[in-house]
Amino acid sequence: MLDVLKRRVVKVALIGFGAGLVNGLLGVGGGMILIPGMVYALGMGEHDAHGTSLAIVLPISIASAFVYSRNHFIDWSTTWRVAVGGMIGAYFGAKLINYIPDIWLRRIFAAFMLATAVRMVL
Amino acid sequence: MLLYLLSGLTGIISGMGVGGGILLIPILVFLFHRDQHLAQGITLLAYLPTSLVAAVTHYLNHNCRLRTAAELAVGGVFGSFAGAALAAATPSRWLQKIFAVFLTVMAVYQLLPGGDRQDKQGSDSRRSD
Repeated sequence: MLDVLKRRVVKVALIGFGAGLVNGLLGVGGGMILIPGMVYALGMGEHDAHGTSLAIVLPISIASAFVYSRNHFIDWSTTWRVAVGGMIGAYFGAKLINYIPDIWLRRIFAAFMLATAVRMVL
Repeated sequence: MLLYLLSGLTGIISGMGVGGGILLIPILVFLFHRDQHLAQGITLLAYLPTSLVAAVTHYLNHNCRLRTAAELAVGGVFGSFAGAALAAATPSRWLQKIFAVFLTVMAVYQLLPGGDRQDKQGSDSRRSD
């Protein structure tokens, strides 16, 4: 029993730290570590993992943003414009989710990411 | 105006649960000529309000376990400080290359059959604590 508890503490610490590290280093991607971590290592359901990851991304993004602002990597005028556009978009995205086939969205998304990755290395 | 439109577009993708921030950073870098560090800082802050609303929505739908979130956030905050300090110490050119590797991994993950998680339901009864 104690062993199981100990193992869980180690898993939780590692997943949390890994998610924070990626999110801090790249500005995104905490959820990409957290969701599979919670599902496969902690045995949580997909929906729970998704909702819970959002609650974790909040404090870790604040911590990272604090370090970024200390290093002057903050541009407020762009940030607030992006925030407004992003919020309006997110609202419609949540509504659209039932109308667009997920598989095509993912394919287009993946193609765009690969093209961007190539452009970034060049 | 273009910035609002493209931010809206990445927001739509985020709202659909796919992760628009990962697209927002290259958009800011290539179309708006922001430095990689600055683009990451903008994304971190700009997504805070959206994440907050999404987290509350999931909580009200009983899809957010606050205790687990708090436990994971402890390691997460330590990791964030380490990651952000590492980013600050890394030149933009290199940070961009690391980001490219991450993009490639994510693209492959999206294309894997298991990467499609929106259709999976009903596994939420497996609560472990």
